[in-house]
Amino acid sequence: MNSGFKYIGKRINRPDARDKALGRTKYIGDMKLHGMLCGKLVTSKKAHAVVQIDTSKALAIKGVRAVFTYEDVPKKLYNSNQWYSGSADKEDELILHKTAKHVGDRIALVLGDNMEAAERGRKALIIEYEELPVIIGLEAASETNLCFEKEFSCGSVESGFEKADFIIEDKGSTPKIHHAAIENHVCVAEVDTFGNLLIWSPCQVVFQVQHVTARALDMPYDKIRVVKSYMGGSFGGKTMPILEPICGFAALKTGRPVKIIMDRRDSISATRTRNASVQRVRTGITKDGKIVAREIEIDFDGGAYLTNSAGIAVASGKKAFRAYDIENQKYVGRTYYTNTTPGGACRGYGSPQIHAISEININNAAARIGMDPVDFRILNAFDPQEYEKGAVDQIGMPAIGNARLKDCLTEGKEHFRWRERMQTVKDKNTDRYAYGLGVAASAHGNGYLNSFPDFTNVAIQIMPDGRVFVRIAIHDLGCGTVLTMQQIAAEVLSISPELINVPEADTHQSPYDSAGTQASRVTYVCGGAVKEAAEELKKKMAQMYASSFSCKEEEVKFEDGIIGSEYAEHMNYGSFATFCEKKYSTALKADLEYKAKANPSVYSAVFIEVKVDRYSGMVEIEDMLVVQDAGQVINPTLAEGQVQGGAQMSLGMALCEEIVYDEKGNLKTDNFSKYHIINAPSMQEVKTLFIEKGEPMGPFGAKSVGELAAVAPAPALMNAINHALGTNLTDYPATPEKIIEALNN
Amino acid sequence: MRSNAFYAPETIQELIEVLELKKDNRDFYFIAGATDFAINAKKHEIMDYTAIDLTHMDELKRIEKVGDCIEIGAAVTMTRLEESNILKDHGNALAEAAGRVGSTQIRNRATIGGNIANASQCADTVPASCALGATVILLDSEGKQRELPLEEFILGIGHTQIKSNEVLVKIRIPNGRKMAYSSFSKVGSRKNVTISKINCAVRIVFEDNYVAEATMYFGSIGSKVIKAVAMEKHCIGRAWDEKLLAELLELGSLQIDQAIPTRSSRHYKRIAVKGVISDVFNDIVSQRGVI
Amino acid sequence: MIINAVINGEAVEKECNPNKRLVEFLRDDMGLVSVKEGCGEGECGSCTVLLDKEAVTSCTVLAGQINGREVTTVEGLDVMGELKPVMESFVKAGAVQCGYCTPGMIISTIALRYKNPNPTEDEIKRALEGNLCRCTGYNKIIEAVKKIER
Ligand code: FES
Ligand code: FES
Repeated sequence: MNSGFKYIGKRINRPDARDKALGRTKYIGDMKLHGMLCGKLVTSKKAHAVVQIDTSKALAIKGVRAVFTYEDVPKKLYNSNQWYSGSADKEDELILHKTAKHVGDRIALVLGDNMEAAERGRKALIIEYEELPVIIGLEAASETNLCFEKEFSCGSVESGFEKADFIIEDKGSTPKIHHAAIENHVCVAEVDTFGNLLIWSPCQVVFQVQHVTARALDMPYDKIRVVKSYMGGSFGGKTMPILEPICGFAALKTGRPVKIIMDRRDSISATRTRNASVQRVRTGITKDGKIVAREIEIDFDGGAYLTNSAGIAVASGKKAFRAYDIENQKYVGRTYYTNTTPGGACRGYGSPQIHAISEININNAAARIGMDPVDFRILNAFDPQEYEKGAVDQIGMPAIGNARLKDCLTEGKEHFRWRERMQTVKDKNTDRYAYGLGVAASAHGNGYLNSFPDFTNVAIQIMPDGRVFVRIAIHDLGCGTVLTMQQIAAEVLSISPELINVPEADTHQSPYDSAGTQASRVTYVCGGAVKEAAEELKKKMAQMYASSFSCKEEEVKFEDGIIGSEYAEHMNYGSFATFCEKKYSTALKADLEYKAKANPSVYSAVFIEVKVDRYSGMVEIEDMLVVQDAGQVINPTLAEGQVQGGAQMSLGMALCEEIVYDEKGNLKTDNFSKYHIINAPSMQEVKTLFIEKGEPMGPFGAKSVGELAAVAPAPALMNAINHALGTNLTDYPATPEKIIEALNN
Repeated sequence: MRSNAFYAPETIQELIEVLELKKDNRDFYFIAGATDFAINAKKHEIMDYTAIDLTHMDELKRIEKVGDCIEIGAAVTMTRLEESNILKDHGNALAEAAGRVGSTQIRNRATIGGNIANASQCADTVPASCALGATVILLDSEGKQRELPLEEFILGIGHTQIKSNEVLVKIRIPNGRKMAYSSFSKVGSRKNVTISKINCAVRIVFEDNYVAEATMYFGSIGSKVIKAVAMEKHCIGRAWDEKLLAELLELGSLQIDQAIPTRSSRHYKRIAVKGVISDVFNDIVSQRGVI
Repeated sequence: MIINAVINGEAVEKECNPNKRLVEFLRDDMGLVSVKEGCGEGECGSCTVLLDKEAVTSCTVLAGQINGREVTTVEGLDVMGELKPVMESFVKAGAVQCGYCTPGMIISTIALRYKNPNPTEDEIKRALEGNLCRCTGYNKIIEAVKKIER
């Protein structure tokens, strides 16, 4: 691919970077509105308790304007996970709860003239807890607290295992993880001059915020306007509205603008987490390395509310059928309630979990027959499929498409000099340090097709000054989504991306989009929509030009914002728009609803060399290569940034990140000194390599990058550690303590 | 009641006057780097208090040779300790320990006085200072000073011998005439910006290539630093070689077994201790090589 | 208490609760919102400012402590002067994603350059060790600092 593009595949600087670097970008926390009150959310300190709150002392404090508790809020159940009205997710949350179900559960809101007053008000609340029994962790939950179960299968695992020469079984676990966006959760709400409830939110799905708020407050959808604002990172953590319903409620109640900001402790305890899991993987292989059967069982910790309990078990299971061609496979996923912070979307949505143990198990399977783990994967990986409309995979999901897992593995093996290194890496060992190599592969998706509605609306228009205005409900989480859309439209329309404006989502300005920035659908689906709309617009321009200047449509040329033909007039797009408006009484615009056409997979292979300190149990990455099947990279700088950032998260899951509760459900990792994310000195260079062989239905062949990036580094690192030490660590994260324990067993 | 007073004494005399005010008040806090205070204030929801800011006390920001001692003002930051040439020459372990505290931003603010007086079991400068034979100098509201060994000064986690009308003003380190080498290392949960799970500081004096004096301390194990007497003795008269290292590693594990026989953290720390011992051992090898 | 300090190059005299944290003083009283709060405990670095030309986390400094001192935020750096090459390098390298950590990263970078105009990669990493970023994996930030034009 990458042939002859002017803007696609180019390193174009982000338009928003300069202001961000100069500190001029205003985030929600920086907003000041006239008469604005500051809200401090009060959360439960007990994991399960009936709460009694005496607000009188707080209300007596100067500057405290209101205190809301369960008594004050609508008793309308909602589920923050519902992103559209057709969602089948059961509703079990309220704006504020009477019975707190986890440490961090919302129990009150204090509003003050400023943050200090709100803080003083919170401190003055007299809160009594009548404690109830708690269930913490999957072991405790497994007897009584099942809330969802899903099975997928193909072939017959029983007969598959019969054919196997070896059966390799692994058990393992992954922890609850905090998204750790550096910006804490925040929201501003006000009632605008038209009587709309106007919510400013750094969110991932404006229509989800609108829907959930409408449910929670029992309000008309159209009276709730949600504006996506600059956000300081999300990673799934800001997908579900946490503050929006209550902030909206407070603004309506007081008639004043309200800002609620969380602190780090709240962000860890009162929002959402990556679901923890406990897993069992059994793989049957023949002696020449073919996988003939596999069985995966995963239990997820859903936390205290239903939220994504169904989604996580389903999404995770689907990925098990996308990487390796396994004739007989069965997956069972279950989600359980516990008295801990609820689960939610988190970069990779189930993929990091499903690959965490199965990719270790693959290594163990290869080792059993003495086969190289890369070759073993290549032998079993799916081949690409020709695009065929409506084609499906082994469990009836959309076909995997131009699946390039094999290319990722073979090219990565070559680039990483895997074979030579395998032979020599152990020569570096000393008494203290052990070296090892690890590889892992992963699969992820491109949208919701065949699971949920997946379509978006887009309107694209040429403005009188020649600029291009694209209306589509996109949410830039910091990944550079806006620039991606600009580059796609620019390529089609032959105009500089700088002249294309793609404002972010606003329920009252952007046309409807069915799913927001979720499910790795933005580049593939929304990008596809922008491309199609731009093409339609271009076609319309060509037609109008041809009929106005008596030439053939094919003769019309578009270059750098100028339309013309060899024999007729050249004019810039803006003049042409004005010309058309006068002559044809029409706007130069295309407007369409774009439905996702396919939902192919994306793949990665990660190669790591590691150095492990046998004394301290500390792990250092010596070298790391990530190969991703990207179809076509839209902007290499952005794509590399995604891969490197995703690696930081994934390696954190393998090394240090873990939300820990004690047996009573108290949160032990409530700040960044106890919840470690990887910092600059511990982060090595992440080398990247993209396989660009085009995805037929993707815009210019592109498909998703960012979520996939957070999947395979973790198991690759675990495999490298296990290779270095001769251990079989399968419980994430591999903390120094666990490493030392494993070494001494 | 809301006080929110703020004192920023600039001279010893002004400091003494504030101590006089402080002596009967519980809500007075000494603030220098405020790096620990900020965390505590948040945790305990301290909103109204009186701050005594020590960062304007220029007199307490010096590192100087006084007689045959090095005196370090309590308001000296970790960055200054780390960069101090006097310390590099005569108290390297402390310079290294300071360089391993927190992040760059924290080291620019956190002070040795705060690190010591807060008496956290994980404080890195404490074992380092102990290995160097440090004493602390306290000043009281009457202007009197008293000096006591650092090891005695700290009683346990968050507890010291300081009285309500006293402030820690100086740390004094004997500046031996003899050529001594010292070193510090730690293991935390990550490479940089980490709280010690175990740390170690040593000071070794050689005579004719054999160890003549050895001081070894471990921190972050129990509530107070541990002086590794058996290990110290074991070094005396020995050459600083791989054989000694191997023996020290075993003794180190034993030391942990004895110090925390019942704690679950023992399993990890009895191995991790080998890491910090190896580090300081090799550091001294390279220091000797250089000099 | 009346605080007298030089903030972003200008002498400022301001009545304020001295025990308020500097981050709040800068954001709320001075309107300098480039200073972000991500943790309030000195762990994330998004509130980093220059205090007498050294990088400090403003959430662990009390407003009263800056009396008589000099505080600089990104707003106060000379956009055409010292800030320009740093900013341009960050933009070009793709070191800015969500941007929330960026002002703090830039301040730490400027502080490093005051002390050490030619830092090695390890020195860069150490200078940025107190600045967490969840978006970039630091690679491009380190590259940006390396490639700042002089
Ligand atoms: S907010 Fe100051 S370091 Fe995080
Ligand atoms: S760019 Fe988002 S936290 Fe660094």
